[in-house]
Amino acid sequence: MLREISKQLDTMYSVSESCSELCIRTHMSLDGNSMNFRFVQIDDKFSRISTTPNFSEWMACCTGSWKKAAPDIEKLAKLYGVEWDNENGALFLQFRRNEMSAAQAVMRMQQAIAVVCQLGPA
Amino acid sequence: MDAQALNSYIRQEIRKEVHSDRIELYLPFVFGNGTSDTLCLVWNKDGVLSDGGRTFKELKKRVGDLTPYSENIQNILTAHGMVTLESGHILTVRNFQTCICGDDTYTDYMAGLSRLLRVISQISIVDTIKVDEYGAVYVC
Repeated sequence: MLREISKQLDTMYSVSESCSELCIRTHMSLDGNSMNFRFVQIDDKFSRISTTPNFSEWMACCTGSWKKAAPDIEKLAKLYGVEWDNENGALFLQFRRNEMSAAQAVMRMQQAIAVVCQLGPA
Repeated sequence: MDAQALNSYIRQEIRKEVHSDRIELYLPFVFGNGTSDTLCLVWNKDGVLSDGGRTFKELKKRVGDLTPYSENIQNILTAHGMVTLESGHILTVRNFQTCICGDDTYTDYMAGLSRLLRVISQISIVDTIKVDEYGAVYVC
């Protein structure tokens, strides 16, 4: 049993490259759809992690209108240092690489999603 | 940075330690005060996953009396099924989902882990949200 758990833990995160973007595949899913992140190195200091369109679809569905729900989404996401892109319906975290590790950024995004994805209708 | 390097950076901090009688999973976690700390989740030899009581310990440290949040906490647990509260303060997953993939059947431990992390995240900030009986979250 522990061997199987250990094997599955090795699949918790994986990173792939597509169209000059890095995609972090996570173990988290909403309604069967895997929650993945885009990772972009902005410059020599900053990186940015953001959710992908399937998260936007989820937020549209659970809140009815993510634009209307934006104040609540922002307030909850802020607890983790995560921001909300109201145009695209995406959570994102921009961070300085010498202040926050990639792992910390990934976990903060996951925590923000864990809370925000349960928001009721706006 | 390439995919391999980023993968390696993530695994440096989100890592497992495998022992003969348990597996420990270490995660950088935010317990509601904005700063990252290390959360250790443990699978025991029977495959039972728990937080060892850490979530409630951190919450009590931050907010003191948990009585005002009892209903919210219960609603979070009820909405997430798989996660139970044992000994009054230990978040636990005992029963994992069985999945069928083609001719194979397997236990999905990652789904149980995801569910536990979701519950821990919500309970950690239970003083800032209202949770209804269906698990829907509203900001206080």
